Amino acid sequence: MDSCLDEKGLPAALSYIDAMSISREDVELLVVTHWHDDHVRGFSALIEACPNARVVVANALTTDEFQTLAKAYGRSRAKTQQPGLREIDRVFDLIVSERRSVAYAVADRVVWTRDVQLAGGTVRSTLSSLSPTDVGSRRALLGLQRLLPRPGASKRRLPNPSPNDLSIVLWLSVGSHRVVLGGDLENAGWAEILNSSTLLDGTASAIKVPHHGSEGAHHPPFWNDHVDRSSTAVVTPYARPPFLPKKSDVVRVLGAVSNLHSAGPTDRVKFEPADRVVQRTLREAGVQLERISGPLGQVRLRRSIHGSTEWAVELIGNSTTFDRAAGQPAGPPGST
Amino acid sequence: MLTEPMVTDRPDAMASEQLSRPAVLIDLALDEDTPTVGAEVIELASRFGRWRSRENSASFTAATPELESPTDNREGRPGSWSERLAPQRDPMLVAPAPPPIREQFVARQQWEGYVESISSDEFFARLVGVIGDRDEVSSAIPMEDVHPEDTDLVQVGAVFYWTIGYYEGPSGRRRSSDVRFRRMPRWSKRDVDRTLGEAKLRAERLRALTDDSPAS
Repeated sequence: MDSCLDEKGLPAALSYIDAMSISREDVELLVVTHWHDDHVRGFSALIEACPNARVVVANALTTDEFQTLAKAYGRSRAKTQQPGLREIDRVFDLIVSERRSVAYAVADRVVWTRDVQLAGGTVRSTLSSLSPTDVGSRRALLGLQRLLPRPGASKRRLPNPSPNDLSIVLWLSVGSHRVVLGGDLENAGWAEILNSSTLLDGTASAIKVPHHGSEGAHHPPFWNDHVDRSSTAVVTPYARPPFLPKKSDVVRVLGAVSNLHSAGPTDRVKFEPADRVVQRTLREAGVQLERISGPLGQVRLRRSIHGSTEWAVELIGNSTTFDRAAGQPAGPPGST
Repeated sequence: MLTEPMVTDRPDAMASEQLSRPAVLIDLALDEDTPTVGAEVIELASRFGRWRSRENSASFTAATPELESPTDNREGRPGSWSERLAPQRDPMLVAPAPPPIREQFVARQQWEGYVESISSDEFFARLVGVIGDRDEVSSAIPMEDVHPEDTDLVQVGAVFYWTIGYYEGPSGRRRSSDVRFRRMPRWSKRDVDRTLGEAKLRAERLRALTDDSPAS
């Protein structure tokens, strides 16, 4: 689900799969929750590397409006011009040229299912998309229409539209266990899920916190009804303004779950260029640079299908755990 | 005689040096004794510029390196000048401008950036290194660092180049930090139509590939 690049410029998911000695041919599903550049970098390389995987994209991304946006702004050669749109444009080109299997994600759609025979019986697993809802998609596409190219308009970089109504949220069921993968969906989208979903059954014991823990993506009714208070939560930091999660976000999430872990450092990482002329110039101007993406980490959650209700948490690389009392990382990033 | 002329005593050298540089307008006002000197001046001036005579003065403009034939008084026949020119006081021959001090700019770091948000006296930007460090960074940049010609271009989404380096010249080094915004091209109707057509085609092909059944 989604993609970012590691320090070598490779998709982090691919590096992880290889490190786990999982065959790339065995990857069944690649989900791109939405097109923002912090979620999609390297996704086309993932598709190329996993030949048997079905690609799951939001239904709304296959509309004429979004395809126009991807074509219009994905072709710019400027380094900073829409890396997210450039990558998603590449993804769609790849899907079409290789005739890859694609599944639409809309509210309440089962995108994957598997029955596994175990000693205790058959365990059914399903992966369902809870969003985008049709209401959210319509709202988002109306917003995107304002951004479509028009004769005479400047080809400047597009701001990421907000709120993010087109993000896919996944609900994973494995036997009696539930996991919610929150994507970047924000408040209105969660309300629409609650109002319309027929697949939400039970409460999740693990959650990937939506939208980097931001307040605008925290919908208390959803957390109250479908996230267990003893659950384990994981958040991915957003290392540029507005720098998420803020301390207040951490405190809020910790009020709803048992423990919270971050897949990377949440401190703002200062950056100083190596060149002394540049250093002096920046210092005199009072300018401080901060690194966009800090060193990566992973949070691995594992549990047995039967028996214990606890998740075993492993912190790898620069991942960290938040201290409940302080609302801060409990210590330096650790590894197991 | 010319009073206080500023004429190089190395006309040949000046001519060769000045050929590639624009020079200043030389207004040559001559007195009754000028013809003889005028001939020499005309000869000098004609080596590196355009010579034009007007009603009350002769003016020399070395605007181009090409030499143009001056007017028919080029030979400066004695008396011919004064026949054309009214005597005036304060003749002045301004020599072509001395060559500018040459400075070389050395870029030590350049980022390509775009504006993410703007506040009253600064804007927040995401930067990708083009020269020097290639790391992706973010920063708040003071508005006062923006080139005055570009302040109206500071908008969310605008692309700019931030170059830090120094000028090196005969007088030493001076550091420089310059933020210049890119004037983005505009969509033409042809571009828009072509994009719409390509997008529609790909959307149709994507929808044809859809497989709604869950993988198992």
